[in-house]
Amino acid sequence: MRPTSARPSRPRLVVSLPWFVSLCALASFAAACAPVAPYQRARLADPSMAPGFAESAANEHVQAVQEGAVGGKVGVGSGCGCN
Amino acid sequence: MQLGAAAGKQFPDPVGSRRSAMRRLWLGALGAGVLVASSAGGEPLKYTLGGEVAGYADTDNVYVLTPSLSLGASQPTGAWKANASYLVDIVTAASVDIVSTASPRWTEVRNAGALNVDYQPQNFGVNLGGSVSREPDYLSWYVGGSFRVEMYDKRFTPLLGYSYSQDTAGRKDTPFSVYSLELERNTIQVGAEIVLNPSSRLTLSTEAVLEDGRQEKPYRYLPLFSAEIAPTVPRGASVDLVNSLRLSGEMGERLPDTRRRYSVSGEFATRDGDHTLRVSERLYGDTWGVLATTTDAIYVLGIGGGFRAWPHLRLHLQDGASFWQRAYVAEPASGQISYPSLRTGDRELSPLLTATAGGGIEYATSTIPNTGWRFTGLVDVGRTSYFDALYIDSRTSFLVSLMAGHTL
Repeated sequence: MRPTSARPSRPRLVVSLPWFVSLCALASFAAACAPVAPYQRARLADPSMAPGFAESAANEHVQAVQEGAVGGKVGVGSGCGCN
Repeated sequence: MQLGAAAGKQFPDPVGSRRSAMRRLWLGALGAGVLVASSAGGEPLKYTLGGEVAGYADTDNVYVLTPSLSLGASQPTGAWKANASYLVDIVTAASVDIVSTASPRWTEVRNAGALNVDYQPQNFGVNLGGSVSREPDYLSWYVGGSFRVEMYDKRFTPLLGYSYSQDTAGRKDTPFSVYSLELERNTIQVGAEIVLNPSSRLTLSTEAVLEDGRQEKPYRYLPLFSAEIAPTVPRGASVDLVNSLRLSGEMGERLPDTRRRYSVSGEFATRDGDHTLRVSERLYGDTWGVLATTTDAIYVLGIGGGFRAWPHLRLHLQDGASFWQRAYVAEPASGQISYPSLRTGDRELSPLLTATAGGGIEYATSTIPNTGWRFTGLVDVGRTSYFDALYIDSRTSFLVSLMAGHTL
């Protein structure tokens, strides 16, 4: 038996890190223009704004198994920064 | 024609050294937790106890029951918190893939534990975590950490994370030292959380997952067809039809030994009054040729009396791997039988669309975050359409989660 060669692979996706860094820098600049005092952060501190709200371990596992894509879990997890 | 399964890689004593390394990692993590706790300075601690029972069922005859427990401790002013969790998956399956290989229904139990410690003494924070998952024929463990810095009066928080995990797949009742397939995974994450205004936040993240090793499923065998028959095998062809068209014998999977996964994600969250909208998008691509987009949205509405309710929508669309074929061809050539060097029967590597709709309801005894009792119920119904797969062309799944937590 001998294996035949695989079909030619498709063009690979290249994540543009400079673009991402530029976007973050731009967003941080925008954020710097809009001061948010600690006493104004009650809405940001609401549990429904937290990354893990309405998620369960079972749900995450199901998604990981049923979707061919993984990663990109959003959530820096710094909280509301109210302290 | 018996073409056999993918050959396993043999190691001198992988289980012993792996267990020893895992034990050291767990002891190290526990030690770090104790060290952080001991530096708390006698301030009152907050403890959180949580439990969840989840049930999953789908139209492909897969059923999963998942009870789990978690215990957390935190010292808000000291800015540290720790969490440990343990879950059990009880899986019963008689899916079409099992039926197609004339195998009986099976039941299997997975045990998984995780530990996570987060410490933020100043405007920077460190998060360390680890987990272990064990099945009779599968072992997986993970360690990871991240570092973040709060900048611009906590309006911009970049994060850098790294994790390492290792999976070992084997065969039931066969020691890993006799047969095992090893997979290593290194993950690098760069992200940032940006506070746009007093009620809105944007989170951006990019991730690279570098996988090296064997990803074939030891029990998965593929039907093979002649070159004349293969194009005529229809999408969703039944087991009986496939058996009537296929060549005799079967073949194990063979996948590339490396996979590089890249994703870019963003989530926008905004709160107005007593309702919250969160929308996230992930763009994904990997070196196997899978391209995907995943959109997730949730709208949380306070309905008074400590209750919140929300609808949830999720849409996942993906292209298939470059080597995916619905019907693989084997044919004689120069006295031998030729067949594709890369092949898979993993339906999640085929083109598919999954639409999920559901919702949840929560009751909290206190309006102060991380205080009192919290009860949550989640329901999700998902419908997956497989555009180029054998045996089934769609699957409907149901997931119900009931959670309870108490902080004191």
